[in-house]
Amino acid sequence: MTGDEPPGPFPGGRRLLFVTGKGGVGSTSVAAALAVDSARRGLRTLVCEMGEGGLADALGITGLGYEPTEVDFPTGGGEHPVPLWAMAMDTEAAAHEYLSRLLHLPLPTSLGPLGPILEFVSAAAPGVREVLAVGKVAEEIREDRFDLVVVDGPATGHVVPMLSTPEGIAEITRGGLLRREADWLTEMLSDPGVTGVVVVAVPEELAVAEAIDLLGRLGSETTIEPAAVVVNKVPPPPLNPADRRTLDLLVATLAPADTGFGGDAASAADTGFRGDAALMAVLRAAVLADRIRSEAAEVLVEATPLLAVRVPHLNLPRVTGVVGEPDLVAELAHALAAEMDQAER
Amino acid sequence: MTAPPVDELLGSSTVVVVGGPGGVGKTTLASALATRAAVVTRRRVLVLTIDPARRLADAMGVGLGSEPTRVPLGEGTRGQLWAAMLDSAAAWDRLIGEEGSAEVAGAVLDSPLYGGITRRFGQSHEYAAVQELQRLHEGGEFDLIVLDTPPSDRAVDVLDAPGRMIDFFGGRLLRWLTAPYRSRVARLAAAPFNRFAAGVLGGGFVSDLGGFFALLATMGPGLVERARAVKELLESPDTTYVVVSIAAHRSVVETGTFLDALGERGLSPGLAVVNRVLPHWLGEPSLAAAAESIPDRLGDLVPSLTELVGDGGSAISGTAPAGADVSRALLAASRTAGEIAVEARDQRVFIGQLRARLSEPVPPVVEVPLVPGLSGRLDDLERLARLLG
Repeated sequence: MTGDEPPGPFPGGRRLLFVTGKGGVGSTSVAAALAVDSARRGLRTLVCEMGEGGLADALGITGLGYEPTEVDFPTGGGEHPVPLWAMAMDTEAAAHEYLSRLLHLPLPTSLGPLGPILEFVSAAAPGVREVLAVGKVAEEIREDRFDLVVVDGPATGHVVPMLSTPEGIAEITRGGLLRREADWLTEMLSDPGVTGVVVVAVPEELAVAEAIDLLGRLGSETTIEPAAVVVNKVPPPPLNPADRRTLDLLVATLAPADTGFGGDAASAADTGFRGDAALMAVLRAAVLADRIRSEAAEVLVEATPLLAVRVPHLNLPRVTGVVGEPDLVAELAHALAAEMDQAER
Repeated sequence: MTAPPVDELLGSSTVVVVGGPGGVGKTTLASALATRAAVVTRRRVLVLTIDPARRLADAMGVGLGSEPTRVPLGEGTRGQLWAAMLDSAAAWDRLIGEEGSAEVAGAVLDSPLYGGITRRFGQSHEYAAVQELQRLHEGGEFDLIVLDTPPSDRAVDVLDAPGRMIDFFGGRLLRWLTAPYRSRVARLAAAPFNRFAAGVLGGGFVSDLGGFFALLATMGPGLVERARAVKELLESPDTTYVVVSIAAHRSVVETGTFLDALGERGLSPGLAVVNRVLPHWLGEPSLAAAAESIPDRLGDLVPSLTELVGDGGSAISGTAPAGADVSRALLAASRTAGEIAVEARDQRVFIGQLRARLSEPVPPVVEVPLVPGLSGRLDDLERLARLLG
């Protein structure tokens, strides 16, 4: 594929998606929303937590285990809950399962004295844990147990080492079971028709810079293709310029001495429109909100051409009002569906 | 007038460790805390950042190296501000160079495993961070070092890194890995481990690993001694922990986890900072009510406001808006103000949840206001430093 081709639809038939982003951008909610949207489309979907936690919270369940468990997710709007499967990565358990399979032991068999030894091996040998963890989710696809696996991955700084580990293992080992595991994994991760990375950002300069950096590192340090860029928590657009001019004029006329904001309601009353503290507060709040939004909008305008190179770029709205995490995920899933349908057209 | 709690803390600690979830502005706040210390105290202050954004690094002039660089601050500054960026690879190279004989250090640094292991092995990055902290602290050139940390779960790794280093050199793993290099008896005892490991990892790889760790083990006593000194520094009463968060659900949850982790290690934060807080008045119910009332008040407001800006307005902008313009702008303001009122109220709820997570002794909580247009320049850092008081 050349750099000039227009972005294809998302997720474009891919079956293994790693979702990552700078801390605080909401990549866990986005991963959950992707899984919910996929499940709503009738795909058998697994979402796996491999990052900093929070997936159980996002799905509205009390905890997650290594075994995929079925979750009936309430998507709201009078729809029936959709079934999807969720799990949390546990490298110990992955190692156990992996060795049982390789050594042809029926599950569940205790590994006996091998257990602690294995723990040591995976602690000592760089990358063993990563290969086992990534191998576990890839296995779910290889065995065709799910149509789509969404991985709520670690933060951007750690996702490249994780995804480049199979290749790294292949470089430093000359044989052994791990090498064989690394070989098929590398092949699967490198297939852009199967595997992709979803990079999540928010309309803030640092988060966008990190996303751009990650896109570059994926290209230079791994063989894995980005699948999409999601900009999360996008605030409503700024006021139109005419309205903004009128508001500025109103504020300047009503309170000429007031050059800034951040004052409190009391000072608004002192300088207000014939004592109309309510009006002044509304005007000031709107101007402040608009400044914050304009900043986000500027970042987004500058970032779009840099982020949307070869991959679809989806925007998700900022959801306000303290709502439960599952409600947030349901809202994001609906917004995601709308964005994806638009990207496909 | 007594000094703000933040200044007392900055004046009395020798190390300040800044921790919290990702994406809350930790690096910027660590730099702002260091700036404030340099401005208000007479101390020589160093901020050691892990991974500063390029603009911040440029602002402080630390983009290029890991050695401390003096940061020029404005007039009225009583102390000195220095900044350094952690270079984990360089820190490891220095450590190996100092602890190993020339021959051993050379062999370790040349090993193809060295890069992979120091990048990935057991919190090696976190260990490098605290090792650098210890080195710079011992050097005595600074009265206060402010350490920025990676996001909270890794920040816990920063605290545990020295202990793990000590465990590693005292543990069975190292003995097994290095057995073939020690004695026949050791080799026999470790044989099942090595057979198993070779099957999984490939024989060549296991012997590479063993050889590498055998080299590393010769430096064990020195590395353990250093790790103990680092551990002592992190647990010292002169080391203060500052927890940074923002008023958002996930950040508050993760901050709670970090606070628990501190507590489990017998540590408690000396200060909690909530970053990017909207002004309180935006969260007052009266603002939401006022925003909601605007559409019903248009009949009264529009004529008088249109007349008012018609008089004064033409002088300011040249063209005065018509009644329809004022009406539309007021409706837009009403909607926008209503939306930000909801966000501000959300924030009050999350800040309440965060305060509820702070246990005795409850540290002071500083709310740093959201400042639109803050661009990470040096004068912005000084502005942010003022807002911490």
